[in-house]
Order: sequence, then structure tokens, then C-alpha cells
Amino acid sequence: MTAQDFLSAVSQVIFLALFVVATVRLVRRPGWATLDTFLFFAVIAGILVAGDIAALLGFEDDPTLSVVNWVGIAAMPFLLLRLVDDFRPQPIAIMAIATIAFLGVALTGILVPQPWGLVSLVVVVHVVALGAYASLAFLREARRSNGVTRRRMQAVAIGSGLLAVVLLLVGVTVVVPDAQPAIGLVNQVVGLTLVVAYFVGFAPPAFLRRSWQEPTLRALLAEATQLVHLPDPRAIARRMEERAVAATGADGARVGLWDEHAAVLLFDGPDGERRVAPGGFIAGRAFQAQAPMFSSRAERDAPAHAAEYRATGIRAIAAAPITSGDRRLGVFVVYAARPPLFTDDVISLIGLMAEQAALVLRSHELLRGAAQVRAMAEVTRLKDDFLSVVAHDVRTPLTTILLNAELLEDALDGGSANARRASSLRTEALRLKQLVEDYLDVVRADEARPARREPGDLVSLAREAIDGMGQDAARVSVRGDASVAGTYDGPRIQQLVQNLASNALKYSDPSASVGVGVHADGADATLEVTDHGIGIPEADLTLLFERFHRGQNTDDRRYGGLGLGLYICKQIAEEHGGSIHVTSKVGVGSTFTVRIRRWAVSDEPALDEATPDEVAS
Amino acid sequence: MSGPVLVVDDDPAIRDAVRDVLEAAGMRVATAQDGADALEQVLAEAPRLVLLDMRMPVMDGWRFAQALRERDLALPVVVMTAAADARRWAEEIGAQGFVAKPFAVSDLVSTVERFVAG
Repeated sequence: MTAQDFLSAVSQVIFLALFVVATVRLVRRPGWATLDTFLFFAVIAGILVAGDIAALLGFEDDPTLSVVNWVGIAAMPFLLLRLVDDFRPQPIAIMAIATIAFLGVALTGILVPQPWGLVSLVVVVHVVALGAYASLAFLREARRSNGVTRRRMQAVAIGSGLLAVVLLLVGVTVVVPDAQPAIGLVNQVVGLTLVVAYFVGFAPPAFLRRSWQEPTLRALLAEATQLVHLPDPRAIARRMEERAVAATGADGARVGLWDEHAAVLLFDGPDGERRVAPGGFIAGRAFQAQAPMFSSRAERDAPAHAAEYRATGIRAIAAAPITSGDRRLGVFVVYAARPPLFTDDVISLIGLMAEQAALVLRSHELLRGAAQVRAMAEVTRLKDDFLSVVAHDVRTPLTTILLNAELLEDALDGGSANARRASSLRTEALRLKQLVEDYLDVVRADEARPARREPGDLVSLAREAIDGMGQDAARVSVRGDASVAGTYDGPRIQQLVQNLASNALKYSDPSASVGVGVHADGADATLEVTDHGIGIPEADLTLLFERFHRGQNTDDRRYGGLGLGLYICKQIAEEHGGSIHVTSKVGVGSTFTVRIRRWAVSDEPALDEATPDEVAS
Repeated sequence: MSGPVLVVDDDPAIRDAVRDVLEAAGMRVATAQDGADALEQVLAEAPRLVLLDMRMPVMDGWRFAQALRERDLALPVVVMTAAADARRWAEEIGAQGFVAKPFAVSDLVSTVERFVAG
């Protein structure tokens, strides 16, 4: 086997492979573009294989064979031009000339007996001219496209240009038969180059596709970081649309954003907002199916909207859902008057851009959410700061009033009117003090704060809380277990104990005592506050823990307060994964029972670690 | 009888009221209007106890407590503040006790007597 034979064999194998690829594509996605590609490679394969089969069978010099080759050669530039036309419509005059020329040359080959002589020259010139035109047309299209499509177009343009060269050389050998040996070798080399170019153009290997896609993807990624900071999803959608048109060479692109509330896809268009229900149009169907979709004949595939597709001249549509995890965000659509020559690339690119869009839109959502949370935290902090300043500034003069009122009361004669006035000053100052604390509590109560739990002992916390109550502490006794270990939000638990105990004292006889019982109960702890006070009427029991609720038998003047204490107690219990209950009998007394979880879910110890406390009890 | 109870507060009305209460309870009282003033008095008068406001101009309660530690002056301090969490402030500066403003006469007297009686 000579080098020339080897080259020829390689070329033939590749062309046959391309023929197989083109056949598979035609079957999978029937359409004009795939049909023309199939015919083009069928002709080349036919010419190549026909010669070999003829040689094998021994009628190499049969004139019919030459005629078949002749017709095939005439068909090649014609089919190439049709491929160009499939991608972008060519002037009707050019297509008419090509068709007439093809038919004329083919008929000449069939009707005029060999040798053709000068006719051959005319044919060669026509074939080369059309081939060159097709090559230039592909180059022009390549310049308009991007990424993979651009590279593939370039490869096809080079292949087509080389095809014109090969045909020209063949023509030369027809006119000057002596040049045959030299030209034959050159032709094999050029032929192999052309076949490689076509292979790269029509069936590029995966690694080439990936490396061609890379700059586009890199640009997309680089832009994603910018897009995230755009003010709203619509602005992001518009930029992604521009990008998609640039990257695919499609006529247009649209991003439909999913409106969860209205259950529609919102498309922002030149003539206002467009609402598409899931399942409507190709876009809605891709969204509903959560899978990419392609249609080369939109009016046939979505007949309900055929009129609209016809009016806009849209025939080919590729749509991919924009979805992040299980969150459906929208749909990405590109459309064109003609199906793209390299459909698979466009579909995969749309898929990638939809993924990108999902990432950008989701990040945008999260960023906005985080900004809101930060703003809320800042507002809360400012409010806290403001409140503590106000509280501090009110408590300071109250201190002076309270002390002086008491000093005055003590200095004055017990039964005198002035002593009564001083006493009133003192109680009103105390009431004002209580109001300030209650107002602060109500503002703070509205902030949902997680419990800041630290290891501690519930019994010690309860004792410290009672000790902190000043002279009232003497009337309260803490009983129960020796210790109840757990993690608690100490200041909050103390507030709970103080609220319950001071309530109990407030509604009891000044000489009556109040009991606080603390017990461990497995993973829970119970805290009971029992008094022998006025009791709570049954009608009040259900609303007892609501904000601003005050019992019917509590006189505002005698029992100050805003009615927030128990509401706050309930909140503290809930912060500790627990609840608060009350049993009461009017005239006998009340028992408030708080049940909380001793450990936060995150720091719950193994069971055997929890037991020592139960032993202690 | 040893040194006085030193009342440190920038609010003169509070200084006067607290002094009146403590004197009525039979104690000797000295006053200071800020941390720097208090530090001089500590050196001059050797008080038995300091009743300390936290928020003051010139030298606040926190810096006063720090100054005491730096000079190795072991002296009981009771925080007397209108801030939300008097107990936390007391722990923070290593004070021995606290009274949260506003307080009643009995709260003040009983707290101070815990340190002065013995």
C-alpha cells in the first residue's frame, strides 16, 4: 500500500463515519438541515465507495460509473449551498442559479456522451465557484456566532473551501490529463485535510466541544458575580437574554421568571409583561416537565399558539427550566426563524445558561435575604441601645424621688396629711418604676430571641432570683431537689421566677408566704410557684397568658402593672422548649407550673449523665 | 470606728439622697462626683465601702475599679447603677455586691449593712 493509498483509505473511513453520523442525526431529529447534511455526505460516500465496489466487481471503466460520479460532483456544491441556506436564508437568485446549474450539469452528464472535453471545464468552473461561495457564506456565519457554533462553522468553511480546491484540481486533470500523477498526490493530502475539517465541523469530539465552550462558560461565570448585585431579577434576566443571543447566534432569547404566588411565568418583553401558564407554549411545557425541550417547528409542536408563532416568524425554539435544587425559578428560552445547524450544541448551551441563571437568581435571592436580616439585626440593635439609654435616664431620677419620698415619709408624723402625701409619692414612684420595666419588657418581648443557654443549676438560679427581690425575699421559700443541672438562659429564667413570685406576693395577703418548688423530671425540669392568694376566676384562666390581659378581680390602683408578666413567662418557657400552666381557685390560691426542657436539643447529654441529679433528689 | 462609706455618683441629687439615707442609718458618708475624685478620696479617707455608679464623666465606674486593682487597693465595692443588668456589671468589674436603681431605702441599707456591720 502506497502512502497515497493510505491517505485515501483514511479519508474514506472518516467520510463513511460522517455519513453514519449524519444518518443517525436525520433519524433522531428529522428536518431540512439534517436532511441536507445527510444527502451531502451520502453523495461523498457514494462517490468514494462506488469506485471501489466497481473496481472490485471488475467494471471499473463502465461509463455509467462516470455518469454517477459526474452527477455526484455536480450535486456537492449545490448541497453545500442548501446547508448554508438552512442556517441563514440566502438570496433567492443564488439558490435559483445553483439549482438550475446543478440540473443542467447533471443532465449534460447523463445525455452528452463522453468525452465531455470543454463542457468539463465549464462544469468545473461552476462547481468551484459555488463551493467557494458556500465556504465564504459559512465563514460569514461563523463570525456572527460564538463558542462551539463559531468553531464548527469555521471548520465547515475550511472544509468547503478545500472541497472547492479538490474539485478545481480534479477539473485540471480532466483538462490536462498529464498532470494526473502530481495532482493526484496533492489532492489526497488536501482531501485528507478537508475530511478532518468536516469531521471537526460536523462531528466534533467531546474534548474539542469542551475546550470551545470554555471561554463562553468562563465569561458567563465572570459575569455571574456581577449579575448577582443587580437590583432585581428582571435586570438579571435581561442581561442573561443578551448573553444567550450573543453566545448562540439565535434571533432572540427570553427568561421567564416564575411567580409562585400567581403560578405563572412572567416574561418581560418590548410590548409589556407576558404571563405564561405552566404547560403553555414550548417554554411553559419545558417548565412543567422540568426538562429541556427543543422544537424545530413550533407551530406544529404547540398548535394552540401556532398563529402567534407564525405572526412572529419563530419556528425553532429551545427551552430549559431554571431550577436550583427543588426550587423552580423560571425558564430560559431561545428562538430563531430557522433551526440551528448544530442543534445539540445550542440545547446544551441553553441548559448550561439555565443552570447559570438558576445560580445567579438563587444567589441574588439569598443575598437580598441576608441584607434584610442584617438590616433587621441593625434595627434591633439600635432599638436595644435606645431603650437602654431611655431606661437608664428614667431610672436615675426615679431613684432620687423614691429615696426622698421615703425619707420624707419617715420624718413626718405618721397620721399627718403630709405623711400621707409622701407615702403617695413613694407608691407612685414604685408604680412608675414597674411601668418602665414593663414597657421595656413588652418591646423586648416582641423580638423573637433564641435562648442563650449555658450550663447551670435551676435551683441556684431560682434562689438567686428570689434573693434579688429585696425585702420580699423573706416571704418566699425555695424547696425541691438539691440541684437540677441543665443548660438555661440564666437571666431569662430569673425573670421568669421573679415575675411568678412577685405576682404570687402581689395577689396574696402581706403576711402569707409563697412556695417555689424546683424538680428534675427526666429530661425536663418543673418549677412550681404556689400562693394562698385571691385566686383567679375561671373566666380569666384561658386568657391569662395573653398580652395585656388583667384579671377581673384585680384593681388597677391596688395591683399595678401592664398585664405583661405572664405573657413574658410563657415566652420564656417556650424559649426553653416548654410550657406554662395554672390551676387556681378563687379565695384559695393559685399554682403556676412551668415545665421546660433541661437541655437544648444541641447539648442534650447521654442519659446516664443526666441521672446524678435524680439521685440527688 | 473606721472610714466612711464613699458614695460615687455624678448626679448630685442621688449623692444627697443616698447620703441622707445612710446617715439616717447611722453611718459616716463621704461623696465623690466621678472616678477620679473617688480615687483621691480613697487615698485620703480610706473608706470602708465604695457605692459606685457606673456611667460617669471623667472616669467611669469601670475605669475606677481598674484603677483600684492596679493600686492593689482591696476595698469592697457595691455597684449602684441604672443600667439594665446591675448584676452583670458587678461581676464584670469584680465588685462584691450591687443595688439596681431605682432602689428603696431598705434595699440600700440592707445591702450596705452586709459590708459595714462587721
